[in-house]
Amino acid sequence: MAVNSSPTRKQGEIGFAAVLLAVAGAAFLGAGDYPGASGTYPRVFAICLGICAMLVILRAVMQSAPGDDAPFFTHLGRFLLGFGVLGFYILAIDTIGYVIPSLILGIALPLALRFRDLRMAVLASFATMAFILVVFVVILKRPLPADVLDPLLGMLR
Amino acid sequence: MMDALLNALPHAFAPSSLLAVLIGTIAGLLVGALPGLTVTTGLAVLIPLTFGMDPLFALGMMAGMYNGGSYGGAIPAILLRVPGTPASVATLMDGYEMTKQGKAAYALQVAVVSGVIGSVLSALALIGLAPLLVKLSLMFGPAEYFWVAILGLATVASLLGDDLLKGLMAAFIGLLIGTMGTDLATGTERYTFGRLEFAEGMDIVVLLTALFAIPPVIQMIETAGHKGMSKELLNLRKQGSVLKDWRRFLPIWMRSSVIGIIIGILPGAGGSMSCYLAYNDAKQRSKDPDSFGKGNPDGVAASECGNGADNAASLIPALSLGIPGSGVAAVILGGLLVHGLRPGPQLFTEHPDVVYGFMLQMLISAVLLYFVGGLAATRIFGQVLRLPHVVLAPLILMFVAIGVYAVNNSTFDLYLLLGIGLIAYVMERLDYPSPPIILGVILGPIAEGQLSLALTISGGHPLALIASPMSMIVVTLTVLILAMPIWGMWKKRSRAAV
Amino acid sequence: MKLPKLLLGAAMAALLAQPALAEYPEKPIELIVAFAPGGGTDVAARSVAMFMEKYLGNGASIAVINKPGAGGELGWTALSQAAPDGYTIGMINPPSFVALTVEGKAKYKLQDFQMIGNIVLDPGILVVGKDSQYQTLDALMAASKAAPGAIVVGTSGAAGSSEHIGILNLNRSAGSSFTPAFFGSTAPVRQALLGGHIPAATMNLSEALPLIRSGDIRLLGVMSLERSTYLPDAPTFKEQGYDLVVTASRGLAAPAGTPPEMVEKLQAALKAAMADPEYVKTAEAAEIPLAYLDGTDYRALLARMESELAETWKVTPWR
Repeated sequence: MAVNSSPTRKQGEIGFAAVLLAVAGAAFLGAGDYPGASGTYPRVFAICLGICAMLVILRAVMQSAPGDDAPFFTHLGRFLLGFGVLGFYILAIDTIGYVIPSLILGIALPLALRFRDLRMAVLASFATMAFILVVFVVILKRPLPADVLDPLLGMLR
Repeated sequence: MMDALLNALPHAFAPSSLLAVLIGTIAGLLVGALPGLTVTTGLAVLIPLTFGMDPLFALGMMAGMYNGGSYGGAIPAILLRVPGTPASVATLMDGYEMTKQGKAAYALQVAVVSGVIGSVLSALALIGLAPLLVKLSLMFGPAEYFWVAILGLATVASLLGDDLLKGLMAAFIGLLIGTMGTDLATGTERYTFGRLEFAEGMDIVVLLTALFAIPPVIQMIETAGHKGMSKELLNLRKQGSVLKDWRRFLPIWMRSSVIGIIIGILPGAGGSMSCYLAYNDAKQRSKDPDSFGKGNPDGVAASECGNGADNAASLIPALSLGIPGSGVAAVILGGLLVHGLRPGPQLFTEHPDVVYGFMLQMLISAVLLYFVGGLAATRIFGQVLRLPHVVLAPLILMFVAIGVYAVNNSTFDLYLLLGIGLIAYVMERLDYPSPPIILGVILGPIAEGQLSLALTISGGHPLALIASPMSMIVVTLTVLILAMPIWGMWKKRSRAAV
Repeated sequence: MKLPKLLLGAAMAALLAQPALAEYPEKPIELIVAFAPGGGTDVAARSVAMFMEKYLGNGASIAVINKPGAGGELGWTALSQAAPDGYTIGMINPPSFVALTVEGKAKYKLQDFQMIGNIVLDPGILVVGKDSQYQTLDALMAASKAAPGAIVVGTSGAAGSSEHIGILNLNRSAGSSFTPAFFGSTAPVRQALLGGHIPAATMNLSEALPLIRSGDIRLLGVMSLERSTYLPDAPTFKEQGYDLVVTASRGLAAPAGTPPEMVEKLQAALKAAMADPEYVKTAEAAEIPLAYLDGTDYRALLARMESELAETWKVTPWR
């Protein structure tokens, strides 16, 4: 897929409403297992959501609105970069801890977006990290995710 | 009561007490402003440390933390669109728009002044009207609470945005998410996908952060701006003084405070509801309701004032009956217990110095908040906006990640953040409003639970729901809230026809 | 950049500073609390931890880790699966801790834990409003027998809570017909009772003491074997001829397999902490019903709870 072949807004509109319709259907069927009012209550909302989703699809198909053909993503490449980075960041937190991935994120992301002031990125990341560690670890003694730097962090507590 | 109050004055205004309130207010601002940290967390850490301290010193810190924390949530909501608490969602709607228009400093000023006014009036109500308001709070049983929740849900009318259909869908999504977790009445687990993490439903802070904080961060990355906000836009003086505009805000402050105080004394209603109700009220009475959600300072004023007014009021049933009006009030009760102060009717006769001293401290902290939160914090926090967007985006992610993790100390919530964030981004692109989702998630479970309780108690008679005068009052209010926008539309149309 | 170098230096220092053969505990002990910060369980855990640190010696520190969710199940499961190295312990809240194993829902069993000791035993009570027409437990029971299902009892728990199970047991053994109404937490049930929205309610004794003393609510019976020292005048259910014992406990446990010498050290520290005059004084002022039980007695108590709950589950499942 080419980096800038974004779907149009109209396609996005119909696609997302279809997803919501499917979710409503699944929620309705899932509620069948719940006894009495426990099941009826969510079913009501599932039906309402489903009807609204169908109306949105109908409206999108029947009428044309200004901006229908505009691309759904303003910049598909950077959108993918943004969510890719967030995904990797979270995965990294889960595997090697919070401190190192955060510092890498804070310095590398601006560089990837052609920001040239390395000094500012480094300073801002380290200052933020120091602040977070002081508040969360030193003062409030909140646990951080299991970290490869744990022996080091243990000294702060 | 006057005697007790006068006796407590020197204790409350003693240097050590003032220092305690100051420390508490600053600490509260900090925990409130950081996503994932709450006043409850701050207090939980603080309370065991106060063993053996003078009770008023400990209580002063708690009072400060309560008021400071409740305003603190507004700072990231206004500046970064990261709501720290469900309560700051209503603030965010207009506050962040104002930031985008370069009025961040003014928005923060509106928020702090409104919060202070709400907190002060609430503290005065706590000192002067507690016995009366306690009687009022006892008139609310499950049937009445059910209607209060419906009343709150009716305010969705003012949150729907331009596209009615999508606003309604957002509300239904919220109500559906609200059904997740164990149903109190039957013990059935609904939509938990076999995950223990969902057994108590979707965590509201995780949901809030994903819905509101992730889309703008992604947008920052997409636009990749290399510049921050200019110094001129952040200048406080050039944006006018909120206090000089008092005539404009006065009616909003008065009504929002009353709303906040009444919701505050009701346990189980929750602080965020007062913000939504106050916001809805300000919008419906406004001459220009369409400007709400687009950077109208009235919206910030109403929401923050309602939020501040909730605080001291929630201590009214807590101190006099041992029934906390909010989660934070419940923790403060725990703090009182540690000092051997058992809340209840006898507390006022057995320890008048401490009780009235504590009430005065709530008042002092509200006033201190103006100086600490208004002048100092606004200037410091405002500097954040001068960072270029490409630098700011990862820093927000750092705060969001640690904040979301800290809620339950679980990395599961981080993956949840990623998934919901992606959906939130798509919804934002397609102009689905997010606030109705939050409203549905918060109020849906209250409505369902209280309805089930009310029917259990009445033996299944639906008419019992409207049997009490209080029920009927709340039902009438709900009808009015729903009818006013329709009435407004009808008037507009008939005028257009002429 | 000076900071990274500084961090590196600190890392080296940290690695070198760890002595090869140190006394337990040589690093912070994590205390898992299965409820959110600020709740009753959390405050109890943090307070007792502070005093245990003092008696563990060796500069010990205990860090409270909140793992809320699923009514405690999430945190307790985490505790059962934690490494049994003496550095993870947890607070448990029977009977719900035990009820989950009886339902067969929980991923843990009682055998997965090594008990350290019990801290609090808080009996359940049955109360009515001050203007209630029911003066005694017998009157309320008679009314409930006369009109099946008509008398609603508010409980601070959810379906399956200890109070709910208590009401089911009472209905079964004494022939009453109370309808439970689930309020989910203590504040709303107290408010509903004081406002006259429900005729009767169950809660824990320590939560209701001031309101009982002030006469705003009337206590009909305590669900314990013996009278409470805080309310020596209040009769138990047993004295009035109803066999009902419901007690909420808070205690400490470690994962099974924790080295015995470490467990002994923890047990000794808990025992000493609970005898500390300052701790006792604070608890008495706050009227927290402290009841120390050592690890063996605590295990016996839990085993008894489990067999009783298993019997109830067979006859009247609560879910």
